[in-house]
Amino acid sequence: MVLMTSFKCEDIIKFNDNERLLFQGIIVDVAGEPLGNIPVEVRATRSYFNPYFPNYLDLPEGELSGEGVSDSDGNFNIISLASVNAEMYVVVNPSYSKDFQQNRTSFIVSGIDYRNDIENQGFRLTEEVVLDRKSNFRTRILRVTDNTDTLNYSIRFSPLVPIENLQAKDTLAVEFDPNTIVGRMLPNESQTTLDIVMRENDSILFSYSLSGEGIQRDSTIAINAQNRSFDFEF
Amino acid sequence: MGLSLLSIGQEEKTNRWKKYHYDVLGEVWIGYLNPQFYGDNFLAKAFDVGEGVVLGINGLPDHKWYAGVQFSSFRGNVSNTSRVGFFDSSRIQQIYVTGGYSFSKKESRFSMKGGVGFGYVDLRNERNFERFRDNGFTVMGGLTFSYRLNTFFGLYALLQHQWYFLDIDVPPEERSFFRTVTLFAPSVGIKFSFL
Repeated sequence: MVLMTSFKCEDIIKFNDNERLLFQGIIVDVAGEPLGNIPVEVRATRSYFNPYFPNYLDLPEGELSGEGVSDSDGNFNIISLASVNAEMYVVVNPSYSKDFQQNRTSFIVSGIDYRNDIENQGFRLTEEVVLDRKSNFRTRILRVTDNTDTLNYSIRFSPLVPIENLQAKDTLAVEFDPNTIVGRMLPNESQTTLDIVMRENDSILFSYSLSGEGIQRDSTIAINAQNRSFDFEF
Repeated sequence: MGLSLLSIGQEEKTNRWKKYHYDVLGEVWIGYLNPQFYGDNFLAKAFDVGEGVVLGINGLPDHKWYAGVQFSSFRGNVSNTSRVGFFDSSRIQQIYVTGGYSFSKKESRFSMKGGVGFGYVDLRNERNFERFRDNGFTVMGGLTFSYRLNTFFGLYALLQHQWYFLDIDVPPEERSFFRTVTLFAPSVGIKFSFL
C-alpha cells in the first residue's frame, strides 16, 4: 500500500533568504515598573488573524520564528526570521497557561505590509506592554466559636483570570466555574486554608453561608502587595 | 665499487627529487578546518561552529606564482536564537578563486606561499524541514606552509583570515552584526602534487 501525503503549498510558511526582522518593546507591570526575564515569542501564521480583536485565546498556533526574554529594564530586542507569505505576531509571556508569572498578551505587528519599506526591518512597539504581577494570596477560614454549623463558601475572581491559573491546594475546594472556587467546612473542621495564585491588584468576592442560617453574605477583598491574606473567622 | 654504486644511486635519487620538484604543475590538497569566528557578528556571538573540511587545487604556471580554487564546508548550531532568529543550524560553504606567490627556494622541501582569494559564501540555514539561505561574498588572505614527503605527497598547514560580506537585510542597528563577519581559518592536511 502506498501512503500519499498531500498538503497545500499555500499553507507552508516560507522564510525569506537574506532577511531578518527586529522586534523591540518594553514590558512593564500595571504600576509602570519594568519587568525582566519575561519570555517573548515572535510567530508567523498563515491562519486568519483579526488585528482588531487580538484576544489571546483566539490566537492561531503559528510557527516560532524568534524568541527571547526581556532584560532587567523590561526591554526586549528579538531578531526574527521574516516570511513573505505569513502574518507575524508577538506573544509576550507565552508560557502563561503552564506556569504563569504574569498574564499572557499578544499583539499583531504586521497589519500593514511591512515589506513596503525595505530599509526598515525593525518594529518598535509604540506602547508599553503592560502585564499584571502575580500574587500569592492566602485565605484562611477559622472556626473560633462553638458554632457547629457547616460553612459553605465560594471565592469568585475577576472574569479576566483564566481558571488554569487558579491554584487551590490542600483544601476541599471544588472548581466548577472558570472563575469560582467553592468549598465547604464541615462541623468537625476548625480551619481551612486556600493558597491561590492570582493577579495582583485584583479583588475577590468571598461569599459564605452557615447551614443553620441559610443567609448568604458577601465580602469583597482587594489583593495587592500589602494585603495578601484574608482570615475569615466565625 | 659497491660504495660507488651507492653514491651514484643517492645522487640519482637527489636529482630525481629536484627534477620532480621543478616540474610540478599543480597540487591538490585536502585538510581539516577549524574555523574561529571572532568579533561582534552573529556567527561569533550566536553560533557554535564546528570543524569542517577544506580542499583546493592550485596550478603552478611557474615556480613562483600560482592560481587555484579553494572550497570549504562546515556546520554551525545556533546557540542564541534571540540574536539570529529561530532556526537550528547552518551549513556554511565557501568557494574562492585564489592566487599567490611562493617564497620557497626551489631546492627545499619546505615551501611557504602567501595568497589571497575572492569568492562566495553560502549559509544554508535549517529548521525542522525548512530551509532558507544567507549569502554574500568573501575575501581571504593567508599563508601556507608545506613539506613534501616525497615526489607526490606532502603535508601542509594553512593560516587564513577571512571576511564575509553578507547581503542580509536587517534594521540599521543590526547591520554590522549580520553583514560583516571575521574569522581565522587554520587548516592542516595532506597535499598531492601532480607533474
